[in-house]
Amino acid sequence: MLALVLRRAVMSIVLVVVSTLAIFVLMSFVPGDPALTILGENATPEALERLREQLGLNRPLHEQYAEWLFGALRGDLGTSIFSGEPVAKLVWLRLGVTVSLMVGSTLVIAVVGIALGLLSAVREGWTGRLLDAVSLVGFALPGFWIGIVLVAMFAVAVRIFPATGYIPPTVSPGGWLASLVLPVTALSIAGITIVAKQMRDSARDALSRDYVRVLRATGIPERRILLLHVLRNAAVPTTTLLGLTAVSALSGAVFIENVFVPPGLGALVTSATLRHDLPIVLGVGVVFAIIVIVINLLVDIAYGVLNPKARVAR
Amino acid sequence: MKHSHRAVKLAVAAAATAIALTSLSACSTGSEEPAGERGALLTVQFSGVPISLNPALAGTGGSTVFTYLNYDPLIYRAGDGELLPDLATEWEYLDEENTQLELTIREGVKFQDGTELDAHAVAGSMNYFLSAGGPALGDIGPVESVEAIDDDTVVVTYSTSFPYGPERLTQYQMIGLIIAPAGVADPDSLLTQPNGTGQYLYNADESVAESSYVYDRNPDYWNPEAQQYERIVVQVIGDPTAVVSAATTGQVDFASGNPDTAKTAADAGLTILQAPFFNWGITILDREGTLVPALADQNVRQAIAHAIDREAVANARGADFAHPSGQVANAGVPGYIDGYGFDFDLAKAKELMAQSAYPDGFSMTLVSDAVLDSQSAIAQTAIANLAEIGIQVELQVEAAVPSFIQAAGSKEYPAALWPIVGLRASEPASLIIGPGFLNAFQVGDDRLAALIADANVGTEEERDAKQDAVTERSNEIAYFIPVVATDSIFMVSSKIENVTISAINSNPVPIGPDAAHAWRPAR
Repeated sequence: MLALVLRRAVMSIVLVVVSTLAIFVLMSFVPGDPALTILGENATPEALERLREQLGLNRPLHEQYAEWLFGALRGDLGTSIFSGEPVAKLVWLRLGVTVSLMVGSTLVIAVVGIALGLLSAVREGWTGRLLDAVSLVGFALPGFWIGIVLVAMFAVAVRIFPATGYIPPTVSPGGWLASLVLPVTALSIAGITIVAKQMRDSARDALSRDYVRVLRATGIPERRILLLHVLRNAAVPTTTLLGLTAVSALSGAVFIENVFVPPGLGALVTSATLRHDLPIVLGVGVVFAIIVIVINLLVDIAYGVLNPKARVAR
Repeated sequence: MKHSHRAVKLAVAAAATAIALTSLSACSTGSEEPAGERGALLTVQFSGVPISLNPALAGTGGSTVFTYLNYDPLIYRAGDGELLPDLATEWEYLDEENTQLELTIREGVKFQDGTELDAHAVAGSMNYFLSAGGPALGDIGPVESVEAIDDDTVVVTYSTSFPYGPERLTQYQMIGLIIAPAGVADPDSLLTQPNGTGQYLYNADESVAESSYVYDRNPDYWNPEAQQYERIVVQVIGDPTAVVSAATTGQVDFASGNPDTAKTAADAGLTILQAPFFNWGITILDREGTLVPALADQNVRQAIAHAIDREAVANARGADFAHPSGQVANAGVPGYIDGYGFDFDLAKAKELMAQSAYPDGFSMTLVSDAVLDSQSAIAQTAIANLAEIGIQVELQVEAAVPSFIQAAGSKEYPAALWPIVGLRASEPASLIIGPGFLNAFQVGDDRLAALIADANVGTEEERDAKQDAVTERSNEIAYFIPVVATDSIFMVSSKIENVTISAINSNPVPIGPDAAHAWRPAR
C-alpha cells in the first residue's frame, strides 16, 4: 500500500506539471488581453504595450511558463493580475467551498445511490421499473436546471434554505449545512441515478451467483448475505463510478456555482479565464489536478480493500 | 463484519445530517435591524467583479461602488443628477472659455492612514490618475494639467473649452476619487489596502476577492451623520436568476434586474426602479469600405437605418423597459429632438438601396456581445429585416466584453452592435468619431466634429440648444444607426429607502456626502 502511495506521489508531480503546461498552452489560444481589460477601451497602444511589459505578457511563452513553474515549485503560485491578491490565498479561501460541494455530493451519491440500487435489486417488479424511469429523467435533467427549480421551491416559495451563498463551518456549522443542501442535491441527482443503476445490475448479478445460493442454503440471514457478501462484490465497479462522479462533481460545480453563487473555485476560474488572469487559472488548475489524483488514489486503495485479487495484482 | 459496521455508521451519519438540516431555517445575509439610527448591514449586488480596487485603474458606472465606499469624490452626483459639494466645497471657471476650473478643497478631512487632505494631495492623486492610464481616462474631458495653487485650491486646466469639468469630477469618473499620497507613492498597495478619505474601510480579511467585498464604517470619517450603515457588503452575483432569488429572499437589499427578473421581483413585493440608460445601435466601423465597399455609401447606411423594425426590437427586449430609438441622444437629455429620428420604413429602405451603387445587396458581418445583449435579443431582431433589402448579415457574438472590444477594434469587422451613453448628444457623437474602438478604422467627420466643438461654447442654454444640430448631423452621416433605448433596472428591498435614480444618473450608489442623499434603513 505504501509503495502504491509513493509511486502515485511521484507520478502526480509529473501529472501536475503536464496539466499546467497544457493549461498554459491552451490559454494562449483563448482570445483576450489582460492589459486591454485593465486599461479599457480607450487605452492608447503605448499604454497597453507598457502594461504588457510590466506584467511580463510580451515575453516568449516558454519563458513565462518557466518562471511560473519555478515559482510554483517553491510554493509561490504568483499573484492575481487584477486583484493583486496572492493566488494561493484566493485558492485557499475557496477550496473549502469546492471540497464541501464535492465531498458532500459524493457522500450523498454513495449513500442514496447504493441504497436505491440494492433496494431495487432485491425488490424487482415495479420498484425496479420506477427506478429505471426515474434514473432516465434524473440523468437527462441538467444539474443547473435542477438547481434553479430547487431554489424556486425551497428558497423562494418555501424559505427553508438560503437561495444563494455559502456559510463557512467556522462561522456557523448549521448554516454551513443549510447552505450546502440545495447545491449538493442539484449536483447529486444525476450521479445517484447512475450509481443506483450500476449497483442494481451488479447486485442482481451477484445474487444470481452460486455462492449466494450456498450461503442461503447454510441458513445465513438474507440481510447479512446482502450487506456483507453481495454489497462487497457489487461495490467494486460502483467504487470506480463513485470516483468518476466525484471528478465530474468538480466540473459540475462550475455550473452549480452560477446558480447558487458560493464562492468556489469554479466561479474563480471562470472569471479568471474570461479576464485572462493566467496565474489564477494555473493555480486552480494545480488544485484541480491534485484533487483528481487524490480521488484516483482513494479509488485504488478502495479496490485493494474490497478486492484482495487487486492487491496481489498491484 | 467490517462493512456492515461502516454501513450502519453511514446510515447514522445520514440520519443525523437529515435531522440537523430539517431543523434549520434559512440564513439571511441581507439587512438586519438598525442599531439605533444607523443600520447594521446593507448588502448590495453587483453583477461583475471589479477591474481594480485602485480608482486610477477601476471601471466606471455602477462598478464605482467598489471604490467610492473607500474614496470620497471631489464632487458628488446625486441620484437626481444634481452636483453637490464633497471634498471640493466650491468650484468655478476662472475664464469665459471654460478652460480653467478652480476647486476649493475642504478643510479638516483626513485620509484613512491619518494624513491630512490638502490641495497638494488632491493634485497629486489627480496627476497619478492621469499617468496611470486606466479605463476611466477617456471619461474625464480634455484635462491638460492639474495644479495646487495653495493649500486649499486646485486648478484643473483643459486643453480646449470644456464647460463640463465639474460633472467629470464626481464619484463616477474615478479622477475625482482622491487617493492618499502614500497610496499614490505605492499604487500596488491600493489593491488590497485602499487609502482614501471615504466613509467606509475595506475589510480585506472578511472579503472574498471576486465574490464578496466587505466595507466597515470609517469611525474617523469627517461627517459621521452621512453614514447610515455600520457595514456595507457588495456581493458579486452575475446570473440573473441567482440575483432575483437573492433579492426576493432578502439576501441582498439592492440588485440590478432585467425585464424578466423585474416582474418576478415586483410580484415578490420589491420596488422596481428604472431610468433610461443605454442607447443601442449599429456602429458602422468600415466607413470607407475597406472590408465592405457598400458601407462607404451613405444611401446604404441610410437604408440600413430604415430597415430596422425598432418596435420589434423593443418588444424582444421587454417593452416595459425598452423603447425604439431613432437618434443618438436618449430621451430627456439635450440634443434629443421630439418626433425626430430614423423610423422603420421598408419601402424607403428599398428605394435608398436602389439609388445606391449596390442595388443587388451585399453581405457583411456584425460583431456583438453576449453579456450586455443577453441572448443576442437586440442583435437578432435588429438584423431580421436587412435580408429584405438584400443585405445578408452574419452575426459574430463575442462571449465577454473585453473580447468584444478587442474584436470591434481589430479592423476585422465592418460593423458592431454596442450601446452608447451620454448626458447630451455630443457625448455619444464624440465616441463615434473619436479615437476608441467605435471608430476602429479612424474615419471621422469634420462637420460633426465642428458642431460638437461649437456645442461646448456659450451659456448652458446656448450650448444645450446647439446639441440638436449634433443629433441631425449624426443621423445624416449614419455612422451610428440607433436601434433601441433600454432602461437600467434595479430591484430594491422594502427594508431600505431614499434610493433615487434619473435619466442623468442611472447608477445609484448607497452613500452620499450627507444623510439626505444616502440610502438608509426604512423607518
